[in-house]
Amino acid sequence: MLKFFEQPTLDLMINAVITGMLYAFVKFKLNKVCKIAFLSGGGLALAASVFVAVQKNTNRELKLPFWNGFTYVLLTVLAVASVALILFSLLWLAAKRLRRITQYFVTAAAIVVCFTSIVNGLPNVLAYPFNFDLQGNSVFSTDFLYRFIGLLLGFLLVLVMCIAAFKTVKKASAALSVIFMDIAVFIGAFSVLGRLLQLMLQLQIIRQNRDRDLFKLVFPVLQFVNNNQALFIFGAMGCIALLAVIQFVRNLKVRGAYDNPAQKRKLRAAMRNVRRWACVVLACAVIGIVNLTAVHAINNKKPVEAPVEQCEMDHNNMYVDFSQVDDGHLHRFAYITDKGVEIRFIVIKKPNSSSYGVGLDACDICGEAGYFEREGQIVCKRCDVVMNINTIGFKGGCNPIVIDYEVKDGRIIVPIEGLVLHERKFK
Amino acid sequence: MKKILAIICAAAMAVTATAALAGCGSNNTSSSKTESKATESKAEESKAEATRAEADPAAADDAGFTEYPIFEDETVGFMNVSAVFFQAVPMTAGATIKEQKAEDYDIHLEADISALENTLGYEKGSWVPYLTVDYKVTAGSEVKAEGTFMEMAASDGPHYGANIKLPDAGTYELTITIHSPADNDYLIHSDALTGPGGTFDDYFKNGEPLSVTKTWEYTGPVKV
Repeated sequence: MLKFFEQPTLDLMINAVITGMLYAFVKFKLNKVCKIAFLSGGGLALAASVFVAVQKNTNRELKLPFWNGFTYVLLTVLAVASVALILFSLLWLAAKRLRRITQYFVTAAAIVVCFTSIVNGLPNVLAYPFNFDLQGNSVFSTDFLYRFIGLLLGFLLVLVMCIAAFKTVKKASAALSVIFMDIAVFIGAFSVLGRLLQLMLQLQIIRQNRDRDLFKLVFPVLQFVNNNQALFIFGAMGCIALLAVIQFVRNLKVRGAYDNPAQKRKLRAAMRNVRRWACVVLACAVIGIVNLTAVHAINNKKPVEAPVEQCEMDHNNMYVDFSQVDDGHLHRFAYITDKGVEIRFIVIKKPNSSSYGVGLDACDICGEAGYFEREGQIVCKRCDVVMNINTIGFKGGCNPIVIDYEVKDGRIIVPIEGLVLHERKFK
Repeated sequence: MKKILAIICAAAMAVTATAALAGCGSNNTSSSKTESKATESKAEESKAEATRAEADPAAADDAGFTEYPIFEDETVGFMNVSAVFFQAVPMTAGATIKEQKAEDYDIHLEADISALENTLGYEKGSWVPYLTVDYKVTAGSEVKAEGTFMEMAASDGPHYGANIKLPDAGTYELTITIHSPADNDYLIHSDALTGPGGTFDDYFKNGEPLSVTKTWEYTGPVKV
């Protein structure tokens, strides 16, 4: 659930901030034609995103090179349009006489930035429900529901941030709007630079082995941008958060003129509204930061290995009670030989069954590496292969090495003699 | 005015279509030309393919994927070893393991290991089976990924490989360690009449594995 809560922030937060700011700017600072054009562009971007998401997940004819080329064109256009938008918006701000003309240039660039950034980010988020790893469960399972709720909440966070950014820029002055909008657009453009360079390498527009000087130049940039995507998201959220703080402070006291108490109340209500939306921006930014730090850390936490458990033992056998291992999780036991070698074996109750999978904590391919439990699955520590729990206890493949055991009186009885035979497997 | 616009649009579409077709055509031509250069031995062929991918990405892309070389044609014992990576791939499984989903990983790392001249009975250029091949990706003293490759087959033949998680671009050291097939109880005829004349000890001294380490400038996950 948390993994899919994090994902929309990673994929869409910068886009949401930029889109919200751009739309507010176009709607409230430019004319009606610009507003309609921008809305049309936004609608087209949503439709295109759905189309791309469907194509990516259903059309197997379109392979990676095609999508690499597609994304390369998209990001190149995004980068160029971002630069154009920054220049045109500054021109719009500086030359008031030219605003009648420059507003159209600003709108055109804003539409392209908005379109390309949405089509770049949104299809991935739309496609996540199709790629939930349900481990054989149907879409009507609680597994699917939890993941879907996580994704929905993540998407909601991004959407609220978009609306809050829109509301914050709505009441900001033209100068503040342009400055903060341009900073956010610059951050957005810079954040895709790494991916753009990577695509140039993958498409061999830059050849890693031949264009060594150029590669040495771009590689550190690629490395920094791609490995620090969270920084850019913090930057975009920080940008709108700073504007929100400025707006909050500016709207603490009524400064404008008013003729009567009713007008004053109206002004105060409008200012209260600005402050509330500023708080929403700050709240979204805080949740976003928590999402990319604490939630990210939880999502990437290494699974804890099942500890070696104690069980009853005599000179001949080890005895594992059903009650000790009937929870469906992986359990690990060990026998220490006279030479001091720890021979581990695992026990797991099979899903939808009353039988148990028993085997060494080692396989013929990866040796004594053993297994761990990850999200209800049994995974080989060495090759990260997910085991079919139902086949644990059978010989072959990646299965745990089979050992002798018998089930009697509610216990699994493992002969020590059989374990010692495998002493060589454990060093 | 409308007519002029229509003509401009039609002309633009025609130019785009022509360019696209020309692009496809030239790709196909270069692909078939390059393909005709395929050499006899598989080792030489894989070398040519890697070079071709470097020289002409379209040729490699015709198969639907491009392999990005990490190192090529290193001699390790009696083996020719190349390492490549590309996008993580879904893999259907045998009975004991579940299907792997590409979405859970960043790349597919692969070791192509073929036989050189040897006294073990392997045909020169053929894939060497029954190896246990370990990989380790390190950045300084920090291990970023490690494990054991699985045996598998792709459209270009059998190989040792694994889908791995390696999210950060960077300069890494890739170490590939190859254990003797004898460790997996692979037998060699030892009689004078039918035996190839050598033993694994000729190459794996005292059963010790062989390894190769190379620097890898990794540009990040390969994803759609």
